[in-house]
Amino acid sequence: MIAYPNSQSQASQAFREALAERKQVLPFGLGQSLGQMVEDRHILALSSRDLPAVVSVEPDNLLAVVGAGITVDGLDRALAGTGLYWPVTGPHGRSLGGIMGHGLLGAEAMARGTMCDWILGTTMLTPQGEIVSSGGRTLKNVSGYDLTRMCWRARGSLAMSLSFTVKLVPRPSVCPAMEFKVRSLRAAAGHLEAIIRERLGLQALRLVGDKDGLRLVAWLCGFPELVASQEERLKGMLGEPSDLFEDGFEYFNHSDAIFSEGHGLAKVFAGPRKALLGVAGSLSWIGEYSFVLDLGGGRIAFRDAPGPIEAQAAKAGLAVISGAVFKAVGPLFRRLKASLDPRNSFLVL
Amino acid sequence: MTSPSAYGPIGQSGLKALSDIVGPGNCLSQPLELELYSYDSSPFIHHPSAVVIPGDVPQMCQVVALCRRHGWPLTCRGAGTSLSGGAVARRGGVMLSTTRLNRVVEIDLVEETVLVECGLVNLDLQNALAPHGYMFPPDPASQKAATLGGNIAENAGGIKGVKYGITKHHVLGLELILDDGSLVRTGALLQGHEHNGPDLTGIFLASEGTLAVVARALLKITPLPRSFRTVSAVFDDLSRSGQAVSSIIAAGIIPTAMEIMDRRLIAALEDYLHLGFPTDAEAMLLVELDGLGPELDAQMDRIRDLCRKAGAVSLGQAATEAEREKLWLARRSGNGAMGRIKQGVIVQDVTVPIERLPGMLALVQEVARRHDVIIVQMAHAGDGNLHPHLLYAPGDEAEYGRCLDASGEIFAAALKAGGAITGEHGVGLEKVAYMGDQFTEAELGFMAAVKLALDPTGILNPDKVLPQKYQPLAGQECG
Amino acid sequence: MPGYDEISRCNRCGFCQSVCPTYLHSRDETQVARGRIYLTRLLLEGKYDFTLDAEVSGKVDDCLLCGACTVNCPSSVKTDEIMVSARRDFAANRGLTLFQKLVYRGLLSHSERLERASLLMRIYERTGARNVLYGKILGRALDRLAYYDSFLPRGMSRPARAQLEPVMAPSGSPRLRVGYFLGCASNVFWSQTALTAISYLIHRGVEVHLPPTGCCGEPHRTCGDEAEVRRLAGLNSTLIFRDGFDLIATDCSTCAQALAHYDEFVGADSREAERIRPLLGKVVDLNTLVVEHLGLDADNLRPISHSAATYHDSCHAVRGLGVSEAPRRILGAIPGLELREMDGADSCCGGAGSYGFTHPSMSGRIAAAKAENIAKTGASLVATSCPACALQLGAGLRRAGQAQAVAHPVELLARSAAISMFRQTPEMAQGQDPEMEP
Repeated sequence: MIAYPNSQSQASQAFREALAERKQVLPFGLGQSLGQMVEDRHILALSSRDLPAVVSVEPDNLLAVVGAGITVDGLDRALAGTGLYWPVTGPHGRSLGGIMGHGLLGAEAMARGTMCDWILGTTMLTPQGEIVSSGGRTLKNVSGYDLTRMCWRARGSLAMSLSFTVKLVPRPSVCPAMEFKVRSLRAAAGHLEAIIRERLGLQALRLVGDKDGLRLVAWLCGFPELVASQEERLKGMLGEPSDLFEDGFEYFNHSDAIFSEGHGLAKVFAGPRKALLGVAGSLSWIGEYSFVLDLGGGRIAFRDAPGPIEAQAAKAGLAVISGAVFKAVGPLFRRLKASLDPRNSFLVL
Repeated sequence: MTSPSAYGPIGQSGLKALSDIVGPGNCLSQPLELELYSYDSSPFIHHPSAVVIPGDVPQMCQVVALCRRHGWPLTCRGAGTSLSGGAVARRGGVMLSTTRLNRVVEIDLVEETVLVECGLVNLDLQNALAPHGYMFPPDPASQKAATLGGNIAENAGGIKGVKYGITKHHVLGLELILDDGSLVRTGALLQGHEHNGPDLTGIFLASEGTLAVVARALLKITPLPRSFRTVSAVFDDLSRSGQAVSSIIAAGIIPTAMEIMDRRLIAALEDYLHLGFPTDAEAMLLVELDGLGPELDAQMDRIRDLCRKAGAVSLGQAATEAEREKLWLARRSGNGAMGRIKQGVIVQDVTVPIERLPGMLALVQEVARRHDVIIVQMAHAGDGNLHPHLLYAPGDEAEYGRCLDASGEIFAAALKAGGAITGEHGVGLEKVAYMGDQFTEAELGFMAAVKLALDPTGILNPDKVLPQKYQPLAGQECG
Repeated sequence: MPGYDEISRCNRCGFCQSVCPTYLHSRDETQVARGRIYLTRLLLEGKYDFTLDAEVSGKVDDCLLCGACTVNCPSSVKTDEIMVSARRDFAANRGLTLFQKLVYRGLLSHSERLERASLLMRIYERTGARNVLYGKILGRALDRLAYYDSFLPRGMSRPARAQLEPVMAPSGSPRLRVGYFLGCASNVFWSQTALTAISYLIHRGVEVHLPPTGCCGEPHRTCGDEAEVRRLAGLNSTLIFRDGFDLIATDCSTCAQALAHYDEFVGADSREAERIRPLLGKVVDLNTLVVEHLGLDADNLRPISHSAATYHDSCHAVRGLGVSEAPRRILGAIPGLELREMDGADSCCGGAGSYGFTHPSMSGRIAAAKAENIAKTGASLVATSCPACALQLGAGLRRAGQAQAVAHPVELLARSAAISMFRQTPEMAQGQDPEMEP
């Protein structure tokens, strides 16, 4: 059964009813990761999609209060004209709640960290069906425990996010994405490491391989003088860019689709940069499958890659993070789950 | 200090057991020694029954396990510079000093991370990173003494918070000791396949030592800016300096730091450092920009312009690196310099949304007038974090009482403005009483469930953060 | 005398941890300024008793009195003064310790006894008694003795005073008349330095007067022996604060700092204090005397046998007198000598008078760290302006197996100027060069 409450109290209500009927609850946003779960009678799939999308936009406080079901695009539209944006670009079809629950990254993770770093506060539904808030409306806030971060990558197993107070920043004056052709994977790995050591402060640094060939991608954001200076250093290392896209946001919204597609379409691995560079250097890539190596975000995604790729990635120290199911649940999580949700009200996939 | 029935006494055999773990020279139990571990930088004094100073992580684990086995309260202490009573042993028991675990374990310039031990002093970390062209942005005013373990436990902020964020934003993984002495890793310190699961690093940040003991941490490091511009603006009205801050942010400029100091603070710092500060100014605003270089001057011009429009009576700029360092030394010494005015200090740490800052500054001045107390103000203005210092003469009960009343009003006003009771100093012991004003019972109950999950026997830094009835042993104790 | 108000200015911020040497080498709150202040506060509040509680006096005695905390304290709490004041109260209530009685009152207070002790030390070295005692026969069982032995400078000469005269005139008419205060440590342990320094002054046209002063009284002040301080200061004051001196100089920055505050030593309310107060401004450290009053005469300097030196700022020089530029300028003027700053140049060496003897473990750790910092500069020479520091640095270097020489900047300047010595000890005449041997 699926429910689309259109207020927080309705969500709480639906939750309590499910509990009373001994159903388990599966929070979701827009349903990309749901799969077969919706068919199960003993499960209530509870969506944030119809919760009020935009509660407030406060440019003077550099914040906005939004429903967990809003998408990054939706948030972007709400911020039009303010000169501000939320620096999590890419997983554009996903709800913010889904991004939180699956631990999805923005394209600018290298410079901006994860979504958690851009949430000032969260209102959530507890396993007892109560509505609680954590954090608030200020950057600095250490009163009590950080329940927002408790939900990161937890797939709604400990609480369900209902609304977020998001922290905003001014849009950069210029934000080009630049592509540089590279000869080989080994050369690419070398370049990537050298660029890191230059400490340029890039927004994103990628290596892309598809039928159009191998290319290094850099995202530069900021004041024109800063970007010009970064551009010059990159050109000094890599030569002239093969392509330049003035609107980096559009570019990465498009290219990051591979990371946030639902399970089955792409395999995503995560791990330390050295492991990623190692994989890049050793891939037997012949253009028949495509990949995006996001050095800043610490992940690599493959599409249509042959089987042994997984083994190669595992051997290099990477972990699979795509897929609907938790692969590892440690003692720490079990303790929290047992105390916060003794009745197992939230389904753990 | 009496030990309620829920906690066990340590006794001679307990001391021997602790001594066997860390070595007799690193287990302190003489009354005089315990005296010197009874305080931190807050007004709270509580004596532990034993102090251990372990030399490595395995020793730390053994100590924690021993405490769990015997039901001894355990309080961790780095430099003992908590302003909220986080490092005092409220229920006695064992105090674990982390100061010997002070190594930079590994700096990795490709991952752009550093692995540190919990007792490493923040400034020592900065000095280790600087030759490589990196910094660790959270730089609390106490950085020359405070340890990373403490920074993580309190989610230390610092002066650069408005641009670079605070400690939470820079912790990638933790090596933690749970209440039973077991060692777990989270976040980027997980190995391989463990990554496909929840990342529980976050719950421990700002947990003030009540959920686990941080042994080591993997931190993100940030490239050191190549260039700085630092401007000082003098105002004849405190809240106008706040308005300048608001207008800078509204103009889309995010400086690295924006700090406000009021008249009394300026005078105390001038007395200490003799920098030529204008001691008759009502307020001084320090604004710093950092970056590559070429892009800074245009922004600086705009900032100066905005300050003038907000009513700045004079503007200055640090011409050399030495001048810049002196300005920040002054700002960081603010808390310590209060001793020059009066010796009793209640330090507040409220936050308000940015647009409420000017109003809050004015409100604190008004509260001071009405209660007839001296309140010295300094603020991390860029993120709405104020530090009113309410001063009293120790021994003057009446004055202290008026300070407490004034303090309560300030808390209430901050909450009403949509802010929080503590931005970076932590709840500790100091603000437990106000948690009920900021949170609902459901919220406190949820947090209590987290605490119960990780510390069912209530030994980890008891009585901190959550009010009594939400602590794990509530109902089991006699008083 | 700092009272409760001064102590209350400490609001426990903990910033002292970043500069307190005993904290940095123990990581223990019982060894930091903040802790010592807290204990003293409890003493004054009556929680502990000056008569009964011996352990408290131990904690108060652990302080080096280096003053680094005060300089770095946002509330400028004068920890060193608070410590001395507490020690005074302990001494008044419980009397002096055996060590203080034997060494301070017994030896330092009486120059002739100290000079006789110096003879014993020289015999100990020359006859090889030290090698017999622990080197081969008793070995590691006498580690403690080896530790004390390391302090003995190699190639000690006879006390300087025996080689000097009450008035020593330059050739030609003097440009300055200087009353030279020969400290007890300089006289016995740094006699070659003192002789060289005085010879240099004479060479530069200074008429040097050497009144028969004794110990300046600073060691006694630091252990709270008020009575002995008054007695020694009373004797010295009439001798050194005399008409006819343009300046009063000494090669020991501890003595210099004491003399600069001698009105407190003789008793701030006394007639003698009133008399000497206008004269206190004449007290200068030897480095300052050379740089500001004589000039460096750089054209007449030649290279010495070292090419790289580092400088250790004694606490009394850098924090007591504000002297840090002058010695560096002297070193910088010597041709062919590169001055390399060491890490923590102005951090206490751990000598603190007799601290090296009363607190071997902590002092040893600090000395070892200093030796390491010296080694990191690659210099073959460490200069300093206090004989107590010289002893401690020398000891630390010897224990670390390092070979850097230790010398006073003016001694090096004298060598560089290739002066003819006014007087030499027999050892110096035989060519034993303290500059070459640590």
